[in-house]
Amino acid sequence: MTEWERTLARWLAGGEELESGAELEVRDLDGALAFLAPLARHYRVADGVLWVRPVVGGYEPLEGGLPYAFSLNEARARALPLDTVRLEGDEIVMATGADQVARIRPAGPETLQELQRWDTFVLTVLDAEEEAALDRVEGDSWWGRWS
Amino acid sequence: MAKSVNHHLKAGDGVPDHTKAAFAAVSAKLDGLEADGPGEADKAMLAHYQASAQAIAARITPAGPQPTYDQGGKVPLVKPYEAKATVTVTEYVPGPAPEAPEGLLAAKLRTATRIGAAVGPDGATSWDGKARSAANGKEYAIDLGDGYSAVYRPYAGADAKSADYSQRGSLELVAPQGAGHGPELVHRLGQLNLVNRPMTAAEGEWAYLRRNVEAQGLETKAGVKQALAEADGLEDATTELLVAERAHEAIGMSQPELVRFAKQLRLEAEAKALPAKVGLVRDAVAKACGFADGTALAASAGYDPTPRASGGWLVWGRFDVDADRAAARAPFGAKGLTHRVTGGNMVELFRNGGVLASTERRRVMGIPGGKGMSEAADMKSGGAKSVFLRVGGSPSQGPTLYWDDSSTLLRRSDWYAYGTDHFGSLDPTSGHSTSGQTRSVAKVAAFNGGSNEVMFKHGIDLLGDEAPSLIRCSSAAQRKEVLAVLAAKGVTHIGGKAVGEVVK
Repeated sequence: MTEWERTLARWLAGGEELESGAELEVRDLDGALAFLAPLARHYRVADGVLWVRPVVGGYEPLEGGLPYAFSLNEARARALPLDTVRLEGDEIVMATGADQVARIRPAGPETLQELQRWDTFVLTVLDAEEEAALDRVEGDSWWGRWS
Repeated sequence: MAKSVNHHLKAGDGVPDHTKAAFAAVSAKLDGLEADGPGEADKAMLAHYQASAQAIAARITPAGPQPTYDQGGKVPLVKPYEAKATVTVTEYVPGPAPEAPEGLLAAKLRTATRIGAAVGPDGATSWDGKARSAANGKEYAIDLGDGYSAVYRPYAGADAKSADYSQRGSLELVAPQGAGHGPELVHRLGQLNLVNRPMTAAEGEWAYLRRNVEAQGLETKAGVKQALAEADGLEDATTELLVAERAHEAIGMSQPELVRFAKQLRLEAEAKALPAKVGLVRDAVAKACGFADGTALAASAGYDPTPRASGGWLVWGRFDVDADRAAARAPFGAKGLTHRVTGGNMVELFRNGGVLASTERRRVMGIPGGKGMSEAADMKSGGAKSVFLRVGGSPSQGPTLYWDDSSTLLRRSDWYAYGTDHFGSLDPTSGHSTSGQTRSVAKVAAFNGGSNEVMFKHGIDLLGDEAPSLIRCSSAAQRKEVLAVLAAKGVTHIGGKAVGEVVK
């Protein structure tokens, strides 16, 4: 395992009670912020690509008594090419083929809050089969419950 | 509590002492409440939470061997206790619409909604004309009379409270329940000062040309650019001509009548100018693509302005791909287009109509999502209006959909692609960069690796003209289920092939 991957695995693991995590920031080449979201706690490396799951699609359900839930179709697995991956200080940096620069770093206060909602949802609402399907970090769409 | 227990059960590192201590405190509290001799209602609630506490206790201090986390060992959801009771609720509803000025329709501003459709057991979508779910932002509800109504979600306001991106600018027209209202529904558009005739051939061709200009990147060609600018001018010129011809009719009209008259003239001008606009742009497009003129282009193979109905929406073709499907297919070699469905969800996909639908389309189709689901994350997720495919080889594992002939889908005019995943809004009007985006078949064919993405607007009808060549299930059991669902729908062939040959 390379240094950047060890670092990523450590950030994603999040401590004894998941009190920390990682976030993904993507900027266009002109520096404009295009994307910022926490990362779910799994990843996959295959064929020169890092697969991660940015945590998006959170909402307050109108029924069911849950305070917060996520659209698993929105929180789909996303790919980052590893051709240029490098550690820069406390960040994992890579250029994407879509003229953007992606940076993964420890989650900040804003993204950490959403990540903790995600953790609660995954660990207490989803069943083990759904959780395992997410952990495989593959799939371009989600059907069924929480789609 | 359950979160911490599940986290450690999954990690296999043992439930830590602090979680055990916290659980003991909660457990003691529940026991204490029970000892206090609660009333019947509280007793039922306590019993509910005691049952959950016991499930957690069984994992923290297991008596004997326990199932693994993925085989029943995960602490199940601790559902909130629910009981029926009568309470007083104050609900604020929009006030009655203020009286509309003469000649105008009253519009009621209300919290935005989506129609509350539902998928029946046969996979067909239906809507009772009333049920609605909440959405972000505001919308205008307009009563058109005689049981017809319209709902419009404005573009205005780009903050988080504005309408969901995928709903912005959408106009919904509702007819009374029952069949046969189609022509009248179209006619009612006139009340909203919109062109209220069924789409003519010229209008269809105009839409086709505009889509092809965008899809083939022709807007940068000087001739096309000039023709599009002149086309706009044609409408103005026609309006002026109509005004000159019919100005005498305006004599004696009241102010509202004059406004209506002017709007009518504008609509008429749009319609009258259209054939000329089509001719102008078709000529320019033809020249940009190496044809002698528009007539030659219109007579060429692949030029077909008639839209195709697909999955509940219209799809216009790309004449450069349709002209020579084999040439579009060739650069892909052994590659095709793939879409991986997560987990065991393939059966759900076919049970819900067999349309690989975007998030926004799913909602209209009644495919269950979470009620109250927000699209605040829409910009982040990259758009709820499209489905995402990737260029790749034939899948050996499922659940995956695969099109071995990419031209089946790339003949559509509404796709765009990135060499790797693109992050951020895909809304071209957002001001956000779409650098790196391509609509070139050759560039897409050259994509390598799994990180590319090709987006198709609305979705793909898997049982229609755009059917995949392979539906690879994750297991024999899943295949059996998918085949059973298709058989129940009466589907015997997919893309011209027997179902059993496609579903593997």
